[in-house]
Amino acid sequence: MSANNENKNNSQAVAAAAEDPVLKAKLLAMKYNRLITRSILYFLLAVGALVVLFPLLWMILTAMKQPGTAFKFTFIPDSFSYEGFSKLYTLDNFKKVFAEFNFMKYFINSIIVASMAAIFATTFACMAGYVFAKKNFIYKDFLFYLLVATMMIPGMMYLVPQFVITVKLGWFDTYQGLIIPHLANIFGVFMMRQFMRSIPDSLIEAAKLDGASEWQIFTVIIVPMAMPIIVTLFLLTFLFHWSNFIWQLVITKPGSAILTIPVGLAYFSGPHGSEWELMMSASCFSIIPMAILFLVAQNFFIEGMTKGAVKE
Amino acid sequence: MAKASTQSQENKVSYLFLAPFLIIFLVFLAYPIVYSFFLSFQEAGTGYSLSSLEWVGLKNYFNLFTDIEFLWAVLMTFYYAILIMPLGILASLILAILLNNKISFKNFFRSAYFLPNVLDMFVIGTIWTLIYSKDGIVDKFIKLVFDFFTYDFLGNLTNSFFISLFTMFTQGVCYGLVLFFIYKIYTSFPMSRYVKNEKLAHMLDILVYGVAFVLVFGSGGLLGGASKVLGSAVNNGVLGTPATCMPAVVFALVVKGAGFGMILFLAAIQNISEAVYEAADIDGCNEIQKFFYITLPLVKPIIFFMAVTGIIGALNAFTEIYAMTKGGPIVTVLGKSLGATKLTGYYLFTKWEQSEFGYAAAMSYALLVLTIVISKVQEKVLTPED
Repeated sequence: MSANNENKNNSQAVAAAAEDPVLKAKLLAMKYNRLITRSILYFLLAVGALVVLFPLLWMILTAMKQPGTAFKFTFIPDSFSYEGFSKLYTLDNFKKVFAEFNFMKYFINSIIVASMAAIFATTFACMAGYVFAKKNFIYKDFLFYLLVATMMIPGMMYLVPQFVITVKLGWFDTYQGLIIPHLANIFGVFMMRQFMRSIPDSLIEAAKLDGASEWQIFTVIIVPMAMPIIVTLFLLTFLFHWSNFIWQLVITKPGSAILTIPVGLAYFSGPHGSEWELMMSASCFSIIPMAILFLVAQNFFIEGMTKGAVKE
Repeated sequence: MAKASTQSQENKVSYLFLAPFLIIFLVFLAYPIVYSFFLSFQEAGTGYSLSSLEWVGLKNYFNLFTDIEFLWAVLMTFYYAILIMPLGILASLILAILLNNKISFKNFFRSAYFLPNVLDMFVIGTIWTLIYSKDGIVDKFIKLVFDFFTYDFLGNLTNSFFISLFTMFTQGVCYGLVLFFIYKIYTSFPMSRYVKNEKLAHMLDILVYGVAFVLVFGSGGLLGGASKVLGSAVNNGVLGTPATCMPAVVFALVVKGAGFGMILFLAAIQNISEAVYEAADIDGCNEIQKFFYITLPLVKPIIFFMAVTGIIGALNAFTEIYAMTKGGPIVTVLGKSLGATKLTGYYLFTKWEQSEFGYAAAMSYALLVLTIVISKVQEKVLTPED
């Protein structure tokens, strides 16, 4: 704010300053003042970024350290040579985690669970959202309020009954058990409904006149138009299931073949909890793919996650 | 007749489209709430298996309200919420205000601040466990700070005069900075603004800012107390000490989640018209006054939203506790050993672990009622009246 005003004052004063030495000096002082505020601003921004990204930085640094040196805080080698660096750093931790502890399997499981769940949940939410946006049907309002009411319930409350129901269905420690109970994404339905309401009715009417079936209207008109929001919802549900730790923890057996990355890491931390270099290399397998996904599609993530919130 | 048939056709089509979602919703979201209600009147009998549930009436609820561990968990959940709400709001607001300037690399900073939001909570918790652990980086840093603030420069005067002088000087700078901030706040909000009587206003000035001064500088005050608390954490690591474990967990979460609130605040701040600030400039407001009288009231809806989600988040908190403290460290209250970070979510999980499904269901219901009550109260207190 103040920077703006100074800018304006600057431009007004420039003409006068050319002659007047006093004004000239004042202008110079202003310039320095501005430089100082700018540097303070950038310093604070950098400190903020450092604090926020510190855990990631620390994870990567520790993952590359020599075994047993997690608590030795020397990061700069004595000599900038291969020997100097290899005294401090190594990539063996990654190899070990990869080879001995089967994190690749956990990784693939996580991919399977998260992508299957995201595909189905997005499809279901898309279909339901379309109906809520564009159709009039019996019990619509009742259903809508039921969804709103259910959304207010804290997720932890579902832990026990969902677990009991899933076990009774015989889905304990199976992919179905991991995926299916979380496929009803109410938030996603609202997101879809909100977006699809902006699709003009005339398009749908025109398609109807051309003899399109309901399913054709949905797949040919609605889905392509809603593509941005579908991608957003897909990414958000993928993210949710990638880190849906508590459900994946309770619904699988320890040592099961279908453990996902966070749960695998949780069981890994039991016997290897003090081997922080290994723990951190294993953590990289969970975090780095997600970080890359975020960097590639960050606008989808940021808008998807915050838009729903502001509406509240 | 024709209209009725198109309506029934529409109903049919609608429910066909709804079917996949609705089936999952009914089986795994709606039914569990009803089922949970019945479950809360039952108890797993011999062997604690699901096949041997017995009807026990209101027993679970009676046990729940006399269960000190549960009441403690509720208390700790409030503590957690009370810590995380203002800190989260403050951190997000600061980041938003910093980003709301004309800067280069704006997108870089925005993504950097938001990035931790999308990362797996369990893994982030594990990383913080390493950072906080005994002999970890935070532990080392705290030892340094503790040595610094408790350095007895009079006692060491003879040993190394210049080191003492240096410590005295840097301490002076630290205290001076805090003093400067108190003074700044005083000049922005003198009591004469709120109280007509001038003498009374001066007395109130002395009283309020004097108390603030004593609270910060007095022995056992903010600075001394903080360094003492930090110092006591040195022996067990930050997460192993009852006084510091909760703030440490909360700090990790605030750092992870600040980018989310930042985006919300940024959108709200950018909606504020530049003209309002210019008018304030003409009236001679300083930056602090502009913040409190213009920015803050206009971002109030976001603050309300974050307060509500803060409470829900506290009741849902599990993964961070599981990753970082597993409910510990143990504190003894009223002769009972209780976990200092055993929040309701984690307590619920331990009951699940012990296969006490009925008890856990009863607890879920009690927490649900609590959530509804709290959000109603928050709505009353925090909603702007306009």
